[in-house]
Order: sequence, then C-alpha cells, then structure tokens
Amino acid sequence: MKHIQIASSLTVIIMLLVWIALVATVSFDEKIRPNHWPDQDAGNILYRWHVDSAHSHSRQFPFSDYLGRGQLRKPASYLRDLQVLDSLFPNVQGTNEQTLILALTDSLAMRIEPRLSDYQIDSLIPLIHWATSMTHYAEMSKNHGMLFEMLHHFWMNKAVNTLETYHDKRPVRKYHFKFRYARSQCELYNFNTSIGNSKTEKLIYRMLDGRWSYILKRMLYATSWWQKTIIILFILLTIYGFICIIRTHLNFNR
Amino acid sequence: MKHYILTTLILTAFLLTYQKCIAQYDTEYAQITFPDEYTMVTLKRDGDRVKAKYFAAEDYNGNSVYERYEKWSAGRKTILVTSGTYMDNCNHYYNPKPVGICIDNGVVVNNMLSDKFDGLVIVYATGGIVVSDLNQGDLSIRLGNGEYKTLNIRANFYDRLQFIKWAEDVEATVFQTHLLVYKNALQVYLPTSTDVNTIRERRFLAGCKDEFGNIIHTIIHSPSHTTLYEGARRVKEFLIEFKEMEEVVFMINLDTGCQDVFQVNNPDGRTNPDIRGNAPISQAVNLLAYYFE
Repeated sequence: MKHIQIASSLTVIIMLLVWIALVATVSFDEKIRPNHWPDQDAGNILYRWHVDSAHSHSRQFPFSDYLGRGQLRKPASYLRDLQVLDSLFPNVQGTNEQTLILALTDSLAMRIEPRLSDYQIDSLIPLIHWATSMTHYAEMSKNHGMLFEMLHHFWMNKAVNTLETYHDKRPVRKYHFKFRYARSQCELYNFNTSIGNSKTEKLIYRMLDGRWSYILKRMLYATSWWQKTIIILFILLTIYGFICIIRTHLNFNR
Repeated sequence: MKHYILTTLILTAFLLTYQKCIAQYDTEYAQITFPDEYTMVTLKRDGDRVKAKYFAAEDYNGNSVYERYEKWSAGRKTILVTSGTYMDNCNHYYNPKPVGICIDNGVVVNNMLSDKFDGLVIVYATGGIVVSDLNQGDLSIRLGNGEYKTLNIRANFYDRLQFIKWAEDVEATVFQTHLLVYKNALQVYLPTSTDVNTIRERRFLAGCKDEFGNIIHTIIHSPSHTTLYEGARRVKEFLIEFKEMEEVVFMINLDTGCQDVFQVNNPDGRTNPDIRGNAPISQAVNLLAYYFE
C-alpha cells in the first residue's frame, strides 16, 4: 500500500515537473527590436537619374539610392514615382512599370530579408499591413493595377514564408499572440501558412473528435517498438492504478 | 418446349434491358476491381463520358464540402468520391485550409504555392482533369483568344499571377499534391529511417495510356501499409506489368490521413459496402468525385 502511495506521488511530481518545464520554455517575451519604415520622397532620385542617364535607359536604375535602407512607403507614392518615370521616359512606359516592380520586389527583398531573419514579428506585421494595402490600389488603379497586384502577391508570399520559418525554428511561436495575428492577416487575404499540428496536437485533436479507431490504427502502424512499449506500459500502469483504487475501496467498505 | 425457350429468351432480354435502364453508369467506362492486392476503379476517359469534379473547401456561404457535394450530386450519376489533397486540419469545425495553391471553381482558397509538392492538378469546369509537374515549368493554358501559353508558375511570379487570373476566368479548380510519377518516371525518392510515421494505407490517382493510346484514369487503393515511395513504386509496377499500361502519364497522392473518405458506387447506383475509407463522407474536408454523363 505504501509503495503505491509513493509511486503515485512520484508520478504526480514527475508530471508536475514536466508541465513546469513545458510552461517555462514557452517564451512570449523574446527580445524584439522592431525596425521602423520611415516614409521618404523618391521623386528627386528619379529626376537625378533622368539627368544622369541623359534621356536614355542605358544606365541602370539606381536601385540602392531609390530603395535606401529598404523603407516601405505608401502605395500612392509608388504611383507618383511611376508617373514621374512615365513623364521622364514616355517611350518606354511598360518598361518603367517593370523596372519599378523589379525594384520593389526582388531588390527591396534583398534589403529587408536580413532584418527579418530573427524573430522580428513586430517588423513583419507592418510589412503585412503594407502588402495588404496594395489590394485597394490594385482595384482602383486603371493602368497600373498589375504593379500593385504583383507587390501584394510577392510580399504576402514573403510574409507567409517568413512566418513558416519562424515556426520551423520554434514551433511554440504559433501560439504567440502577435504571430497568430500576423497569420490571421495573411489568411484573410487567402495566403495560408502550411503550419500544421505537431504529433501531440494531432493526437489531442483526434481524441477530442472521438476518432479512437484512427488513433489505434496510427498507434499500431506509425509508432516504433519503444513507443509501443511505453504506451503499453502506460496503459498497464493505468489499469493497475484502477485495480488498486477498487481494491482499496472494497477493503475500506469491509 | 418452344414456348419455354421463347419465354426464357423474352425474360432474358427483358432482364438485360431492365438492368441497362436502371444502371447509373456504363461498365464499359467504369470498372471496379476488388478484392485484389489493390482496390481499383478504372475510368475510361475517351468520349468524355466520365468527368471529374473537385470540392476544395467550404464555400463563402459556409456550406461544408459534404453539403456542397450532396447538393451537386443530386441527379448525377456518381461513380466514386474520394478525399483529395492535404489539409492543415481534418475537422471542418476548425475551418481547415488546403496546403498549397488552391482555387475552387474560380474562387481562390489559397494563393500560396507550396515548395513541398510538385503536382499541380487542374480540374476544368467541363469535367476534364490535367496534372502538371511544377518542376518542369511547362504548364500550358489556353487564353481567351484561343492561344496557348506555357507558364512556369514556380519560378516566375508574373506567370503565377497570370495563372491565378486565368483559373478565376475559366472557373477552373486547382489543387497541389505530391506528384509520384510523371511521364513514366518515379518522382519520389527512397525514404529515410525517420519516415516510419509515414507508413499508412495509400490511395493514388493515376492517368495512364493503354496500348491503343486511350487515356485511362485509375483510382488505386492499397490497403497494405507502406511509405509513399514504396507504395508509388509498387503501384507503378503493377500498372505497367500487370495491367499492361503503355505509360503512366501521371500519378498523384490522395490523402488517406484523418480525412480518409472513399466511397464507390456500383453500376446500379448503390454504394459499395465493401469499399470505404476510414472517415465518413459527412466529415469530408475536400472531395474528388468522378461521375458519368
């Protein structure tokens, strides 16, 4: 009897310790250094490029001057830049749009991505907001809808990929409030993350759904021998515990 | 004696005609083979009598996949219905989302193209079905002006956007899944020792060419538990060596996880009680249906 009491106390203590360890490792207070995205006027840079290139497209677009440190500007300012470019180079209007798309997708990504490599969720959320704001301009703009649609799709893709990378590095992040918010914003625009459930979560979900035959099947076919042993031992221990309780109850009644 | 023979002949003729009348589909176009190593439903695509329909997710009115299927299947001669691609969850109460790019009848469900799966399946509103290898970047679409355009939607962002717009315009249904065989070549590789949890029942959709060049679609269910690689390899061999297919044009994986729905109707329209998935159709989170017209 004494042994049973010691064993059950030990089990409770171990479970408590495991629970404390699990909770302690969930950090919702990681060091986040948000990056700010100040607005700036790029019109002057485009005019200067126009003067420098002497009315020709032979000279490469000044990507680094135009993008600066990778600031995100209001979508309307890109439309203004495009109008400036079209006025400066009226013969190659299609090329102007392509140049701007190239600048604001791949070139801008090269500047922004290193800053999002750590868990910078506070920087990612404004980026998602910025990308989602493009949809309104895509609908409104008659001639340059494609520019904004491209930007929207490109940056939403980047945001989802970044979220997935954050999750892969530390799966518990998916429960972080800001992470969930960022994810829901992406899903709102039909950019779904492929963040699935862990095996334990799947097991809990299946248990909640009452899919016992499925659980049993998975236990039989998808577990290694040592996992099977642990499960059997756990079941035996539980049955033994119940037997002990019943026996104690019966003895007590006598 | 004469009367007896005459009566027998009339009765036989009547029975044959009656059977034809009540038949939901022509067994020349759809055949069910079981029990065997595999349960197979072979569908002849020539003559465009056998068509496909895919339900990717619940609709904007909140109708579940099952409700949509029930509504759609009324009056239709459904041959089979099976779960399709992977979802992030398999209970429709948790609002499951498809993994990989997904467009349902021209409505975008997921814009994200997954790097994990190479198979892109397009189910046309007319009932046609096409599978493309995303790695090859040779997806061909027919534009409004009748011209064909080849797109590389994985590598080229502009192409991807154009493809989504095209799918919206033609009300196509698109989903992504594991491409296992493409143009007779196996596309999956040997599993590692950590793949033990991937051992499960398997179900594949294979598009084959027979010796006469006819296109045949086959749904193959393998009840034995295998890895994706082993299952695909065995089924490909089975199709070529035992079913004497000239070429396996494509073979994709159909999810047999927790959303494992599989229902086959007999030619008389009644559900075959011996062929079924682990989950009831009412719990379906996506469905691929083949029907006869």
